[in-house]
Amino acid sequence: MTDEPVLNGKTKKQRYEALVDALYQDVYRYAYWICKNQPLAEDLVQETFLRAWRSLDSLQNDKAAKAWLFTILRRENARLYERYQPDLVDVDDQPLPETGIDEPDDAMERELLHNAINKLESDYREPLLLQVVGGFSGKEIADILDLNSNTVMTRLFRARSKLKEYFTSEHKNATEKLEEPNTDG
Amino acid sequence: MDNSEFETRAFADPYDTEQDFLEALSTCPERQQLLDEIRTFNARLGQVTGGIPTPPELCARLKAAVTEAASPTEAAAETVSNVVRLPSRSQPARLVVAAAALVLGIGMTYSTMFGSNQPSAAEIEFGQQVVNHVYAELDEIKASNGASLQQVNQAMGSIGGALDSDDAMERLGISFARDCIILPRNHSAHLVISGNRGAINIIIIDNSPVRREFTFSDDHFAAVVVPLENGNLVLVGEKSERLTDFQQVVDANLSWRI
Repeated sequence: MTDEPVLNGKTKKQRYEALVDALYQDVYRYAYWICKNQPLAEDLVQETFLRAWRSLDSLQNDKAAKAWLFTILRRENARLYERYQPDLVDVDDQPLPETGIDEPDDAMERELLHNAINKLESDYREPLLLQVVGGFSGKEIADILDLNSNTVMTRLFRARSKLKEYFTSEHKNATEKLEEPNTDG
Repeated sequence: MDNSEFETRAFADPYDTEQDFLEALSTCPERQQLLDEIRTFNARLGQVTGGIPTPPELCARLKAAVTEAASPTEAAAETVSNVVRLPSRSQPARLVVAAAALVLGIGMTYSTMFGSNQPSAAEIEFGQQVVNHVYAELDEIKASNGASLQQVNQAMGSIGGALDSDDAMERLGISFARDCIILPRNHSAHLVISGNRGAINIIIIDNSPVRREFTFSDDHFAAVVVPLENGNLVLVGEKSERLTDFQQVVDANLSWRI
């Protein structure tokens, strides 16, 4: 979401800044979910936008900007992981970002869903995140992941089915735990 | 399309707009119920994935990082063109009562910038923020004894618009009008009209248009987010309300004059 769309006739820097304004939040969130680490996600986003700046002239159509940035980010992620393996703190062990507006039930559901997303195998998680975080269509996801559209749709179906299954199961366990009588003392 | 295929398609893409999917949906209320459940789950998923806060200053850092990389020519151009750099904002649009045959139906205007098919997490989050605002205003809305033309114009004025006749007040049955702050950097007008099942909130906000119209609901409210030329129209009403009917009412009575 942005206040300023990219328009023709802007300088390269203005065009770049409009891209940043429009897309940095979605790009950061996608980075966060694929690398499960906040500092690394920030590095990834900075590398991604720096590369985007260098090759901005190759982006002929602003409508394709988001898919282009996500593709750069995926490549950067792969490259960084090939180069070194940082000491990662698993996102499951990190406190969830506070929204400041959650009721206790909301916070628990959010945490359960958060965990459920992270339990998904990457084959399922990636297309789902591209759809939910990036807002991409099946065809666009197929292009980004270099898969055919049918495979993408099957993976999306399985991703949501599994996610619902994980979430329901974790929710049930958590509720049962809360309802267990306290036998201490 | 059999139930199994419908279920697969609905899980794969809860916002599928293919004709065969929509036709299969319209033939069976149970399918609509399933789709509503999946969309509710999807909205929750969007809130979780989109609720990750972005680091403060990241946007500024990304912009600053390339300043040194800019060529001397571009840097010079920047110096000239950005002597005074103000926060950008879409050109405020002007809302007026439309004559019957007026041009653009606002529900039909889609933004295709950075084109994507699905509402993104940020867009779903935006919709949710609007609904949260409605919840926060419920007492005020219930306590309202009606809105005057002056109040409506004041609310609309916040987004550069105006209602220019009492006829539109009567046609729309506006009972509440405020200029509200829903997003910190954007102006918004909040009107309430009478629906068939209860109040319908009409919120017009001058933030970036969503890429395409989308609907969502929670236990109480249903909402539709419609992209405009320079902002968004959000209708929020009771879950059992057919908001699309009122979208047409708003469509027939209001339009943007830019």
